[in-house]
Amino acid sequence: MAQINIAEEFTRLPGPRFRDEGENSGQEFREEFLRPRFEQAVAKNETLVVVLDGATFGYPTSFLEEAFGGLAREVGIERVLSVVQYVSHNEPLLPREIETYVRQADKTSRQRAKAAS
Amino acid sequence: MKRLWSSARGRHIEQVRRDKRDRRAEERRDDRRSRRRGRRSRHVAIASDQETVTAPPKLCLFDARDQVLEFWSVLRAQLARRHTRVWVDLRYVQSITIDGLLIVRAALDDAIEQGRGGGVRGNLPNDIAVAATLKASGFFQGFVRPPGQLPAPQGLVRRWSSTQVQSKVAAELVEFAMENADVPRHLAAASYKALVELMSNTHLHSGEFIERRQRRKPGRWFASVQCREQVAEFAFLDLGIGILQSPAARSFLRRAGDTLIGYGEEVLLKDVFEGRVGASIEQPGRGFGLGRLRQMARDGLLGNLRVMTKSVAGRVDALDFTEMSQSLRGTAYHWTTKQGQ
Repeated sequence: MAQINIAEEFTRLPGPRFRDEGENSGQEFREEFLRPRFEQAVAKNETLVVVLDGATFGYPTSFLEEAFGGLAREVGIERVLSVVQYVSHNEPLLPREIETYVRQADKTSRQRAKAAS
Repeated sequence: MKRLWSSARGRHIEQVRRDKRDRRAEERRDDRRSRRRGRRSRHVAIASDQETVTAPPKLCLFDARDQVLEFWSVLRAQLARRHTRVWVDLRYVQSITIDGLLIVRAALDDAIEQGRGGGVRGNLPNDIAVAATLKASGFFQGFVRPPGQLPAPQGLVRRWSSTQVQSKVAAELVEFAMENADVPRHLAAASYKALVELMSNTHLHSGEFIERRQRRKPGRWFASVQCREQVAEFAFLDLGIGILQSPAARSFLRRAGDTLIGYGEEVLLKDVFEGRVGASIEQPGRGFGLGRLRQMARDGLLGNLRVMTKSVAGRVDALDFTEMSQSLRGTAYHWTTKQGQ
């Protein structure tokens, strides 16, 4: 089982969506940490566990969507759902929130609104 | 001894010499005076006149929005004039909130950054309690204070401004609230997430196109927190194009086959906070941020979250927006850590 701890390995203060917006972005996390570890886990046929605890004030929405939704857009929604698991004792609902972003990673806001109505 | 000249002639010559001396002295005085006048003239050319802009008694953006927006638009217009000194008259201010304070400071900072405004001075309120708070905030350095000793300030203020998304700054503001208003961690976390989202929105959407190839200059945001009586109040402001005129909103209206006037600003703002409008051009995965903000407001994590943009303002949790008679260029938010609001 592979593991990645965002707070210890990347930052305790997750920031914006894209690199050019500022430091500690979801894009940077995905490109530098998440995607390589995901590929390693897939190569070894392992589960990748993402530890979400330890971030000082939690995770902004855009960071999570770009990190995990972005990964799903790159490698496929079903692959991410099958390989990645989450650990979050401080915010128990956070894994479900991330899963929503992954499942809807290929949908625009218009498509989501249409599906909801 | 032969006299060289008669007494009358001598007196005449003396008189001529005296006149010459007096004339030279006067010329020297005139020179000095004109040199002084010349310097003053150059100074006057830099700031040809002074305009006074008077703030209303209630400097609270969301609670007295029409008066504050009217004052603010006059202030910005005066600041935009290059060679005009502006006197900001705060004498009659009797109450002020962090959003009112921030909008005035943002106007001054924006003018300074754009190299406009011949100089800004002013006077603090006659109400010494309010004056003490403003002085302690550091927002109005150099403003004339009322006579006498000022009391201890009502609450502590911290503010920041940038064009980048700065998670460390968001953390600083939130930690300031935790230290000075005993804000519990879960409310602090909600405010942190809100601040980062709003900074990101400003950076991505509120900037202006700077040339035909449509590169966008990142928008500047202003954020502040005031801690008073165990409650922290946050204010966030950008002076960009505003939510309702962002590319996402315009794209949405185009698809709806309507204009902003036809569609309605209140209706469009509801769509924004319900997540229907999306973000930027229609890219997958975008448009969760403001919807999440609304959810946090509904859960009581962002107390009494209010938004103001263009000519519409109101509460985000209930999507209760109304039209204003004045207009704000940009977008302003205000919320507190007081639960149960």
